[in-house]
Amino acid sequence: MRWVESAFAATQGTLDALAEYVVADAKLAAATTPRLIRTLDRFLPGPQPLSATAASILDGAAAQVKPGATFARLTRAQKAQVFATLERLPVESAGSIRFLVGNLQDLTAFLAYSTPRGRRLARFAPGAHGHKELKGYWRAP
Amino acid sequence: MPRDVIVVGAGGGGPVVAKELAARGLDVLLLEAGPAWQDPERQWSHDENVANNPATGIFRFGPGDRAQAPWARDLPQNCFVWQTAGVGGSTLHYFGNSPRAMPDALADYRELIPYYEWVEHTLPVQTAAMGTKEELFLRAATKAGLPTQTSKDISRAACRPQENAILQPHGTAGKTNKAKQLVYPRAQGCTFCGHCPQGCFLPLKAPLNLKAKRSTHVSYVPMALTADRWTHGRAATLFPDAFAVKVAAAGEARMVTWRNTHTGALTTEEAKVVVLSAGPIETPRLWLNSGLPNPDDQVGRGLTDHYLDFVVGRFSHYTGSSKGATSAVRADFPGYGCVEQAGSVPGLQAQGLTDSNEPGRRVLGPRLKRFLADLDRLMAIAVITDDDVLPQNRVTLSDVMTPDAHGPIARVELRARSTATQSRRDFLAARATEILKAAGAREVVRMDWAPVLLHIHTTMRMGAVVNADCESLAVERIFVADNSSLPNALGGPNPTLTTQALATRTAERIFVRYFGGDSWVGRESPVSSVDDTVTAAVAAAGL
Repeated sequence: MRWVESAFAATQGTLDALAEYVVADAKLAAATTPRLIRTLDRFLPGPQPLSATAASILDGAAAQVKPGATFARLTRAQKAQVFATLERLPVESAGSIRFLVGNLQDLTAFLAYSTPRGRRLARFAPGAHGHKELKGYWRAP
Repeated sequence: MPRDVIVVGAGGGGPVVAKELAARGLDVLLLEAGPAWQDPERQWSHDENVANNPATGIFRFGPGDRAQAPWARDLPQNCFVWQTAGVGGSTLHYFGNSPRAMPDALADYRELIPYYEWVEHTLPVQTAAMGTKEELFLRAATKAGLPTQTSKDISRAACRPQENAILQPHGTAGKTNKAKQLVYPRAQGCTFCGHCPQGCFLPLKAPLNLKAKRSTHVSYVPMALTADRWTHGRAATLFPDAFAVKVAAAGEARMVTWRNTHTGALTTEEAKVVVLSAGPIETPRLWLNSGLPNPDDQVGRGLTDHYLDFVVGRFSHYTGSSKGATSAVRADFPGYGCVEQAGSVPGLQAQGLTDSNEPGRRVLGPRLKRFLADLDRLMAIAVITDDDVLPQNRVTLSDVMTPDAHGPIARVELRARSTATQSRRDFLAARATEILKAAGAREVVRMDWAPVLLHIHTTMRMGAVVNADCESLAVERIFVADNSSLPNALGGPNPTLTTQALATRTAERIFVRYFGGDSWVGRESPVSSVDDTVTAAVAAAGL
């Protein structure tokens, strides 16, 4: 089963790199990746792990940008190039890839800033049942 | 014995029909594909991942058993569909914004006003209270040259507090951060918690029908289920976890077959009238999966979504972005659409800043970190465009993805935008930028969002699929009462109130035409869902 572990590690490495690319914070990225994998793998019915599909697409496009490289080994600018390439695929023939890739970065950002560390970075105190914020009602000047 | 009416879908529109007809004494069955919520104070959460995760969240579009995957859609382009299954539907996560349509957008706008008034009283819809972010927005909009709109009918380009389906704050609400003081009855109405998209279960210990945000889950549904108590009606029956898979017609009989999402069992019941309210994606899917007539191939065509956009300003001072109703102020621009403030919690704000049609526009990495270094120094404005109906934007049945237990799944294609729609969107984004700059933003970004399908309409369009009473042009006794029956994108305003006004009118037309009754709007006074009689009925029924 070593190949399974190896495949999972590759997926995790690529999605770690994606999270780091999106949030530019190693600790936040580390907190995000497990949520990202879980979310992707639960998104569709059936056993196919969408996280592995997403990682494969990113790594495949990375090899186009820099032959022999995986997404995790690219510079920030090269990672941006990966997304620019994928997001310009024709909708008619690659609509599902456009859907998946188009949502990867904003899904990652959502998940990252929903973690305790993300909320702390945003200086957001979670769970409040109300705030002392009422100013009254608007009166037109 | 056949039912009088079966309503398919307990979201924004279906419960309106159910409540109105149950109040007239009809035997109404309300089906909902998603779960019922027995105890939102315990079941729901302000944690964004728990509430809004699209795969596993409480408010995803999927079965009540969250160990199962969400229900799939075939989405062959970059887009995001934000819908919720469960009693209340997408009114569970909506912001409660309840503006009327642009008057010029609807040919029968004047005729619709009494129905607007009926719904506004029933929910009820109230003028939003102000916090820091609201005052900042309105002062800036005024500085940018916009007058204040003071009537519910939009008459000119102007700014205003939102008309929201959110109860105004009373008692300690809005006046304290202390949880112990924010319990009903000391706190009543909106407590300024800032969590509208995570569902509203506040104030704590308030009766179900007195929760602040007026999703149909706390307003129309409880009224439908207790119509024998607060009026001389007949209590509607609600079946949650009941996914409708087929609608059939035989003579004057209409049949609905649904699948229990827990057991997989199929049940068929007969009714004199069927009302489809499953939403603008699932209603055409159900129609097409049922093999009902589609003579001009109009079912599912002409989807509009307000082509939403997002403009965000970063400030050097406190804006209160995360506090208070998520959207409590707006500006309307007849001929173009609207802009509205969209306060937010960190996950959704981060999502909004990283979504775009254009890879280069996404706010990523160090820049995202800078923007989100203090949520309460941001101000976000959503752009809501009056988008044109185009036939190539449509819902069909997917021939690519595997059918699920409810049949072939819906494919949502967004293939084009008219030049006029693009221009209106650019105009509105420029106005949003002006407001943010007038408010003192140090940095402003326009996201050029990829389609975010939050306001979805016009897939069973009035004039193309249904008539002015929202009855099918092809099969009588089948009506549509959700956003799909709207004739257009309403000129831009958020659609829920107009759909609810139309659903009220549809209920009346059903009662008059098929049950020999009289109309009531304009002749009777509506009962508010927060009336003491309803509170007593809800308590007596154990809701």
